[in-house]
Amino acid sequence: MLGDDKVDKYSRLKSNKIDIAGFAPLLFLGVLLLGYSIFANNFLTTTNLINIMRQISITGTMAVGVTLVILLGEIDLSIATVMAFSGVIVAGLSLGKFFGLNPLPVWLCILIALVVGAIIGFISGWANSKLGIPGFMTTLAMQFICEGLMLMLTGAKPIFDLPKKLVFLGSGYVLGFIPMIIIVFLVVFALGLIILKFTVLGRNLYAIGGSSEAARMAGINVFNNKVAAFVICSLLASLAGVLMIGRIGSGQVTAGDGLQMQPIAGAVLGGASLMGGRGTMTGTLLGVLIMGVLVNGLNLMGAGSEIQKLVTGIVLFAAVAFNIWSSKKVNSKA
Amino acid sequence: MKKMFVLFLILAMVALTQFGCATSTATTTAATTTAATTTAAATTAAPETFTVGFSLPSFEFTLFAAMNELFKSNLKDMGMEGQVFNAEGNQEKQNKDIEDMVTMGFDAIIVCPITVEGAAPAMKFVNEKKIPLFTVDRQVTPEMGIEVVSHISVDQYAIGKAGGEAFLKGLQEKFPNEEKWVVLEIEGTPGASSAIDRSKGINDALSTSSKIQKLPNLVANYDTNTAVSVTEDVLTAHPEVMGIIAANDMMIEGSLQALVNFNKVGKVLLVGMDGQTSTVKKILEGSVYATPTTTPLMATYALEAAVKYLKGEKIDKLIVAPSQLVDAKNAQEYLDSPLAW
Repeated sequence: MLGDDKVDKYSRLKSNKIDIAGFAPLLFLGVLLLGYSIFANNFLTTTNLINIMRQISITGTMAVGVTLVILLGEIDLSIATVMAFSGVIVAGLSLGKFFGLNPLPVWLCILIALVVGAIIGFISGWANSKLGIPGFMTTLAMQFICEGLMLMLTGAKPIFDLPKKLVFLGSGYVLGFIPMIIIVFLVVFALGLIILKFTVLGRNLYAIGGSSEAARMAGINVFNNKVAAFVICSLLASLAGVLMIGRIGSGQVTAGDGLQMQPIAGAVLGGASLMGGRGTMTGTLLGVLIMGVLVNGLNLMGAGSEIQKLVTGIVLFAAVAFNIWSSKKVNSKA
Repeated sequence: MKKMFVLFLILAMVALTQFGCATSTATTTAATTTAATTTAAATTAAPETFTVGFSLPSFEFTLFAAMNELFKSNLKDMGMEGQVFNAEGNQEKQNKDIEDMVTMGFDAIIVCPITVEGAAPAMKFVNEKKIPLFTVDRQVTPEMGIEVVSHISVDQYAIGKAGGEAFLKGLQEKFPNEEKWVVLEIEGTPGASSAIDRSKGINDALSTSSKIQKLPNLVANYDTNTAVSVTEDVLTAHPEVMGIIAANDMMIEGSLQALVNFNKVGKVLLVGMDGQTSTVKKILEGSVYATPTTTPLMATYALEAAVKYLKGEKIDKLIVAPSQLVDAKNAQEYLDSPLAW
């Protein structure tokens, strides 16, 4: 994670220092882990560590996608709603609840939900890059559209008694003890990492986020790359929806409530800049982990929700402030 | 590209005018029916038609969605006219809805406030215009100076208490020989009056037993996903936990999911509240012990009260919709009844 943001060889030579901005989230996570190991009962146990991973998998999957959009200097506000929408689609189709259709096979339901997610992302990305509507607005509109469709389809009733195969991704186990949801998340994370580090798309996203005009001059197809980022983001939100119905055992229209901002906060906590051009996948993983560990430890210690909110707010504020402060320091030295 | 955008704008405008027309026709129908009722009242003709408006906080929660459906079908059955407004969880929208209802000239207005404090200015406006006002589920306090003809609700405290009593009964059946019962309470949205009253009911019931040993309460905002996580954390920190009682069914289903993850289904006693269909089915399967019900019948009672009042009959200031305890014995019967939602 050191240096896979815009730090090329040249600027590394100039600063000749490790990137403390990238290092900060790791340090912070370390402090948290150490503190909780001492003060929270049963924190440092395999069960609990698996627990934490399971709890961050859904937010994490969405965070990987939204990191790509944030790198562009855009934002996707629709992810949590797309997530809930996708869950409702999969749940409803698998039980034959919509349009008088017969129950569809599980793989087909998941495929349809992912395609719907991709289409939503495509529309947002297209409106953003062709019409120049800020991503903030296009995705906000998408959020309302998805909410409306979802309510029309379900009448706000939870969809339950889901097929076993369908909930496997969200609540099944591999080899008897590794939760499938964690494997899915780690695969998603690895793919995100590869996209950012080793593909043309990844390089282009950094370039466009740095300066979209300069990127265009350099011959980068801004439209295609932007659309790709939005499509991947929405697609992963849809996948998160499939995980969610496994986790909560039903398709619910309110499944995304309270999750709108968490993936974005995770990415920013991990060092991504909302102005675009700066951020890493490893940083996002660390950011999401920090948020997950923070709440888990407080739960183990029996802290009430008032304390949890207070502490989460302070940590978010402090961590982001430190990130920005330290990255300025690095830049001014360079 | 520009052309496409213009086309889009035109389409949007057409759509908007359509929508505008739809609302204005609705207004005129409401207005004409009001006119009709006044003449009807004047000539005291036999079947009177009143128009009743109903403001709901959101359609995203199953209970409110069920109330919406029930209200609309009741209107038809009773030969009344009216409209339901969805505040979409937004207090400002709800206040606008209420003001619009006043403008549209409804004979009576029923409000299920998101928060009573937030809806107070709009409800005062209803008072000023001398339109009879009814509240559902969330009650105004006397100091607010709002005149409410009748308040229709379920007794949240009683629901909490019934849940707590069922919980004790279940613990006695399941763990008769244990000296202490280590239990967890999961609370709803902090500050919501239903969450406060239910928690008070639960604790008043649990305090009657000396065997209860409560872990610190956790909050899951009435939400399944949060409840899964907090329950997992509790099962980690306190594997000895024997029972979980949650302030609604959405949360107890989250706890059940966490038990699945920990291979502990059936080893921990679960009691929820609300009686939503999915949870009642879990009671039939034996994974949840009991749930006291909340009923969408509140909407029916409110409409009946409004119509009675408009006809000049006397009605009570407070109307309590009944709650029943659903457990394995009556779960099937409840599901087959029209009350299940």
